[in-house]
Parts: sequence; C-alpha cells; structure tokens
Amino acid sequence: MTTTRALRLLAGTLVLTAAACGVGSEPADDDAASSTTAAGDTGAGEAIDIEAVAEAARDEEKLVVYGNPNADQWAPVLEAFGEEYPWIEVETFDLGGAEAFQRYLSEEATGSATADVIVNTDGGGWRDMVERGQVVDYVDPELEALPDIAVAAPGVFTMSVDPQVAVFNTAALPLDEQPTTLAELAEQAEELDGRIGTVEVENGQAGLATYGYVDARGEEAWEVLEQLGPHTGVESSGGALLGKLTSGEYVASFMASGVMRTLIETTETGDVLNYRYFPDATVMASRGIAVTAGAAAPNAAKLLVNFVLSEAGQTVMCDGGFTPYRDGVECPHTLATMQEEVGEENAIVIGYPEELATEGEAFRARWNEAFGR
Amino acid sequence: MTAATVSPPPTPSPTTTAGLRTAEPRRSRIPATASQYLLWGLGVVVIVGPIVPVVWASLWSTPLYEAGGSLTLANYGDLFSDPDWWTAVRNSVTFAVLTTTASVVLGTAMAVLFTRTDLPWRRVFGAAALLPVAVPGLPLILGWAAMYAPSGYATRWLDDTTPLPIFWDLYSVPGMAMLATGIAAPVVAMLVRGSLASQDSALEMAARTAGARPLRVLVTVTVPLLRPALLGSGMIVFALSLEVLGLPLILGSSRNVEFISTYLYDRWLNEVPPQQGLVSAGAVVLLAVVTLLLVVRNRLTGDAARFETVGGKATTTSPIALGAARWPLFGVTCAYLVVVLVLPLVGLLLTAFTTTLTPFVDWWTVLSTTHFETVLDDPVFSRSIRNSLLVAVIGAALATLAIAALSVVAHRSRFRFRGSLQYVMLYPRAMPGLVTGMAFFWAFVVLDPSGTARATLWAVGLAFAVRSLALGYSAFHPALAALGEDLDRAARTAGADWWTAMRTIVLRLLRPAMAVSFVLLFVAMLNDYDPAVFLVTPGTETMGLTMLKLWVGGSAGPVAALGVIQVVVTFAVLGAGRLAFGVKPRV
Repeated sequence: MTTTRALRLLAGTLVLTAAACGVGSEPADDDAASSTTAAGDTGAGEAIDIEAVAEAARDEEKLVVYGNPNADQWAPVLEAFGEEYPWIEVETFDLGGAEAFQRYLSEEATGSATADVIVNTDGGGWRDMVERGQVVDYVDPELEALPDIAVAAPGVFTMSVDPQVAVFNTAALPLDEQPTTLAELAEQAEELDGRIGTVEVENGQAGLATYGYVDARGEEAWEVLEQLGPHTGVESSGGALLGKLTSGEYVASFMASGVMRTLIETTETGDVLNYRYFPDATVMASRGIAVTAGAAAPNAAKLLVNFVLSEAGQTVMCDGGFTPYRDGVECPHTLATMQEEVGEENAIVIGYPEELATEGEAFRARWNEAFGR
Repeated sequence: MTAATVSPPPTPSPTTTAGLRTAEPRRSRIPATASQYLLWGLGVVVIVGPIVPVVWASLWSTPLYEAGGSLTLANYGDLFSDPDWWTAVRNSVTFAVLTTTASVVLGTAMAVLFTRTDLPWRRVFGAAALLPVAVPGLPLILGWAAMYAPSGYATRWLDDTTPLPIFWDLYSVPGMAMLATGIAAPVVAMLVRGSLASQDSALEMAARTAGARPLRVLVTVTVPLLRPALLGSGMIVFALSLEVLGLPLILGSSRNVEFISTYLYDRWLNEVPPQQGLVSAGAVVLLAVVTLLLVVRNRLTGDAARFETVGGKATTTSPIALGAARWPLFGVTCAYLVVVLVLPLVGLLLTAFTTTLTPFVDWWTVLSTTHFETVLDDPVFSRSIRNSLLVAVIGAALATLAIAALSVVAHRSRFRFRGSLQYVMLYPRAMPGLVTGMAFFWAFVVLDPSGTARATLWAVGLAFAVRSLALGYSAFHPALAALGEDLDRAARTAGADWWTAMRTIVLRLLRPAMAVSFVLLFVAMLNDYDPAVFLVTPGTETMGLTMLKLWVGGSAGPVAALGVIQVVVTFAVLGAGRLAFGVKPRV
C-alpha cells in the first residue's frame, strides 16, 4: 500500500513538472496589442473604408458574437445582415452582463476561441474593457449621420437606446388599478407586498438604467427605491422576471427591459401582460457594441457594427424589439417617439460615464441594502 | 500495448514448460507488464492528475495562465474571511441535512413497502418509484417549478379550489430540499432494496412466531439490519446534495439564497476580473469535505459482516401483511407518485408545448411547437444537441473500453499497483462536477497554453467521461468478479499471453456487462452539465449547459423543449438497454 501511495505521489509530481513548463509562457496577447492601435481618439481619426473591410472579411472564419439580446431579438437583424454580406457566417451567444466580459477575458488570456463582437449594456464592464485595451477603437463612417450618443465609450458604439419599462399582469392588476409613475408604485408597495418584481443591479442593463435614474433624480429617486425595496422581489434577469409576471407570481414590475414591449405587442403574452412608461423613471440605457481586441474575424466584426449603425440596420432592429435612435428611422419605438411620449426632459439617455467605474460599487451597495440583499 | 495485444505468441523459450506448470508463463510477462504500467499511468494521470493543477491554482497568487505569481495562502484567507462563503456553507449544509433525512426516511419506507409487504401493485410501484432517478435532472426541476412554484399550476389550483394552506415555498432552502428529496429518495430506496433482498426473512418470521406484530417486526428486526445500507445511502445523498448546482442557481436566485456551488459559480463567471484563485480554493475545500465523507462512509459500512444474517440458504420471503392499512397505503403511494413524477412531467410537457404557460390562459388555446422550432432552428441550440449526442456515444464507448481495460488490470493481473486502480476509478464519484470541470480547465491551461485542445469537444467529453467513470465501473465490476478466473487460466495454459487471454476470453464473455456500462455512461454523459460550466468554449456547448444558461436567462419554453428531447432520448436508450441487456438505473 505504501508503494502505491508513493507512486501516486510520483505521478502527481510528474504532472506538476509537466505543468510547470507551461506556466511561465506569456499568454498570446501580441495580436491584441497591435490591433488596439487602429485609431487614437474616436472622432479625430479617419473613418474606415467599409468596402475594403468587406473584402478582407471574405478570408475570415465565422463571426462570433457574445451579446445580451436573445436569439429571437437577433433573428431579423442577422437575416438582413446576411442578405448584405452572404459570405459571413454569424453565431450569437446569449451572454450578458459581466459574464460576457469574463468569458471573453478568460478565453482571450488562455488562447481559446472567443468573441469577435460583444454587445452589452453593462456600462461599468465596458469602461473596464476599454481600460484593459480589449476594445478596438476606430471611426465608423456611419458616425457622421448619428448623434453624439453613438459613441458610448472609446470604441464602444451605441447600438440602441432601450428604455426600461413597467410591465404589469393585466389579469391580476387591471389597467385602472395600475400606478402611472414609479413614485405611485412605491406608495402601493406595501399593499402589493411580494408581488412587485424588478431586476438586480448586477444585471448590466437594469444596473445602468437604475444608475441613470438616481443620477438624474438624486435623493428623490433613492427615497422611492428605498420605499419599494422591502416589498420587491429581485430577479437576476429580465427573462426570469418576465416568466414570473406571466405566471402571476408578480403583478407589477419596474426597470424591466423594453424588449418585452415587442413580446407583449406581437404574441399571446399580450393577453396577460401590458406595459407602460413611468415618466419619472424612463431611462434609456445605451446598448453598446464593440469589436474585441482578440477578434479572430475583426473585419467581419466591423461590418456588423457598421450595419447596426446604418439606416438599414437601425430600421430592421426595430423588428427585434430594439429602440433605434438614428434620425428618420421608421419604427413605433424610437428615441424620438419616446421623447414625445414621456417628454423630452424625461427620456433620460445614459451612456457609460467614467464615474461608473468609481461610483458604481457604492451605488450597487446602497441599492442592495435598500432591497435587503 | 497494441504490440502486446496483436502480436502472435512469442517463440517458445526455455521457460515454457515451467510456464505451463505455474499457469503464468514468464515469456509474456514483460510486454504485458509494460502495457499495464502504461495503462495504470494514463489512468492515474487523466483521472486523478487534474486535481494537481486545481490545488496549485488555489495556492497561486495569479491565474495560472498569467505569467508571474507566487505561492500564497491568501486565496484561502479570503475565502474563510468572506461572510458570504459561510452563509453559502450554512445554506448548503441545511439543504443537505434536510434532503438526506427526508430521503432516508422516505426511501426506506418505499423499499420496505415495495419488497416486504403485501401492498397491492407493489411491483409496478417499485419500478415507477425509481423513475425519477432516470429522468434527467434539469427537465425534472423545470417540471417541478412549473407545478409547485408560488404561481405554479398545482400551487394555484390548491390555493383557489381547496382550503388547504400552501405550506411550501419552492424558492426557500426547505422547498428546494423537498424537490431534491423527490429525486434522492429513490436513490436510497434502490440501495436499501438491494440490502433487503439479501436478508433472510426467517428472522422476521421468527419474531412473528414469538408474538410480535408486523410493525414491531419492521422496527426491531428489519430496519436495524439495514443500518449499513442506510448509512451508506445517506452519506451518498449528503455528498450529492452538497454539490447541487442547477437547483439553487435557478430556484434560489430570487430569494438570494446562495449555496456553495452557486457561490463558486458566481465568483468565477459573473465577476470581472473573476476570482479564480478564491473559487479554486473553495473547490479544493469542497473536494476535501466530500472525499472525507466518502472515506468515512467506506469505514463505517466496511464492517458489513456484523450485519450478515446467519442461517441456511434464504428461503422464499413471505410478505408482511398490512391488513387494514393496505388500501390506504396504496392510495398514499399513488398520490406520492403523482406528486413527484406525473405532475412534474406534465408540467414539463405543458411548458414545452405551449407558447406561454400561465394560469390566466387556458393551456389548450396556446398549444404550439414554437419552442421546438426555436431549438432546432437556432444553430447554437441544435449544435448543443449534436454535441451532447457525440459526447454521449463516443465518450461512453471509449470510457467503457477504458473501464474494461483498467478493470482487468485491476482484478485479473499480477500487476504491482493493481490495488490502487479501483480506487482511482471510484474516486471521481467523490469529485463534485464543478470541481471536475475546474480541474480540467486548469489542467488544459497549464498543459496546453495555446488553448487548442480545450476548444475541442474532446475536452468536455474527457471531463464528462472521468466524472461518470465510477458509475460504469460499479456496473462492470460485479460481472467481472462473477466470472471464474479458471477461464483465463485455461487460456494462459493453452499458450495465450495475458492480453490475448483477457481479450479473447474475459472481455468477450463480458460483452453484455460492457453494454450495460455503455448504456449507463451514455445516459449520464448525455445529461451531465456541471463539469462543462468552466470548460465550455464557443462551439463546445452541450445540451445540459445550454439549458442551464437559457433558464438562468429566463426562457423556460426552449429549455423545456430541450428537456423533452433529453428525456425521450434517455428513456429510449434505457428502455432498449433494459430489453437487450437488462440494464437497471443506477446511481
């Protein structure tokens, strides 16, 4: 028995020695460094030549996207993109928030295949990615036709500005009993105890929107949130919230993703659910899209970014439930229609301010305390 | 190894006659031993080796894929000083204690009822009660959630139409333990039944003749004899409960209930930069605890001789008459099966075949196959089905061959370290799935910094295979042990070298056992998911992991559709295996 143990130890040591040979080697981030130098400051550099990029993309393998939109949201966008560039094969992975960045960073560091494009609404995460030099900064030709909000952070472009909405279970809480502002919902909170739902601030989109809300409304906003907190259930994702609203576990919600609008308007879900905008808490969070420094298909990646910023892309995104912000795009839900609906001063658009990196943690801690987490 | 296997018998050497006499011809020893060393070495490195890098990662200040770093205990310091870790430990232990207690009580009751009493339909019940073990975990949880979540169908119906109070909350620790008991009780029942079958009912009859009532016999004779089986199955359930991931990840999140597994999962996957050192430390702690539990279990149940019933050959067992309790117990059993099996499966089917499942809309008005279309149309979903099938078929086949080869070395050779091999094959059972995945992740990072190996399906397949090895071995070993060694001795005396004897006699005769092992491994690998959590790369996703991710994102419909596919494939393969080779579900 002792010999067995000794041999096992020996085998273990062998693995260790073999392993040690690998540890000193540098991770393969040489390509990353070279590709981040494309353009210095966005706006100052020259716009890329899309035709040349399209030609270069012909030699690339498939395009991998880690994004927070789900497959249904992507479908119309990718179909149109495929008609434009039939030789590019796109694969999307439903990965949001910190997980998308973490997966990318780990995979990039370990040399494994990874995302060429990331779509995410987590502002703090984007700031971190930019700081790590993991985002390719360049100028897209479409930027000329777009408002300033199109660049959310260096190299991170705004794909859409999706408002947070309040979704209700119409069957359990009839239209005439529903609150019309977040403050009103807070007043009803005690009565609806446990039947109000929201999404945690660790979630990229809800977190950014809630940050935008307290940033714009200050202490007043915190009072409302602190009143809601003890009576509100917190879900990790919009999907989970939607499921529990449909089943009637929650009857009201706030800071739900605006994507639910399409679902309510176009499917049977609308028989059970309705949505409304709270004028006092309508925050439009920028959904960022960027080409990663570790991209294996950087040209195809740039084409996708270019497409979603173009008029055709912005128009077709409407069908996927996104909220386009480009002027003149025909769609029932755009930045312009939102401004009409809740008033220009109430449609708060939030990008990725640098303070997110410094204030983010304190903000999340206060929110979590208010919601008893 | 191949050389030894296929080469013709070596030319006779002067020792041949001696070899014939001792039934161990020296001429074939050298090549056979070399291949045995090779197999043993490979087995140890692949199965137990990956633990080395995970321990190392936990003791290293930077992730192993980054240059630099130094030896440190800081990861353990951070872990033990994190109050969230201790909350997670408390939740996990509470959950495990509740699940174990309830499963042992319920499982024993089932085993006794179905094998020792005159309960009507007991054979049918006995088979049906074991089904939850065979149903893949995630679809079953989904079915439970559809029925028994606070707004589930069953909960609603009870609340609206009966005065019964809703005493459970599926999102709480006891609620999750209730669900887990539904799955774990059959495990206990299975193990206890085996033990009951070997008991001599003459002891019970003796007690009856001495005037004891049936219940007293049960309590004072039958159950005390089951102590080793109860202890053993209790320990297994406890260890399995400690590593459960899907349940708390999906049901516990809205109550912010964190288990050890979700603590590790979140710190690795949902934080930038991920706390991989801390998570590795947590994994090592979990591994140590589970290993210790199983070692203790082996010690405690090892003294099984004390519990042998002494008597002649066991006679036909005569069932304990339940008397007036017969039909009420029949009703209770039916109700139990409806609650833990029928309703959850109905919930799964309803979720899969309706566009939106809600109590506010009649389900028959929203029937559709949309979710199946989504699953088949989406390249990632359909690829994960294909990947899972590939891993299950090829992985199970290769793992079965590996088990067979390692088993004959372990039990049919004179190889020096053969004794260690069975421990090597059984050890993965003590490794939580998350830890197995993490171990392979670090092993790949260290041995293949280019990342090419990890990006292939082989990486995931290897981790799944190692994790399921113990299952296959425990099914294969009894058949091997039952095969008399005289057969291979006969082959050896007739001139075959060791490998030829194994290949042409032992393994050929054990083909049915290999088939059983293949079927069990196929099912286990098809439905496994936690080892893939840290290993997956774009392109190597498997069905279970895709379901887990989708569900965490809230899309129950496509998850249910995938779940239905998983259940159908599982039952088809198990059914075919049962018909052809008498495969029974195992744990």
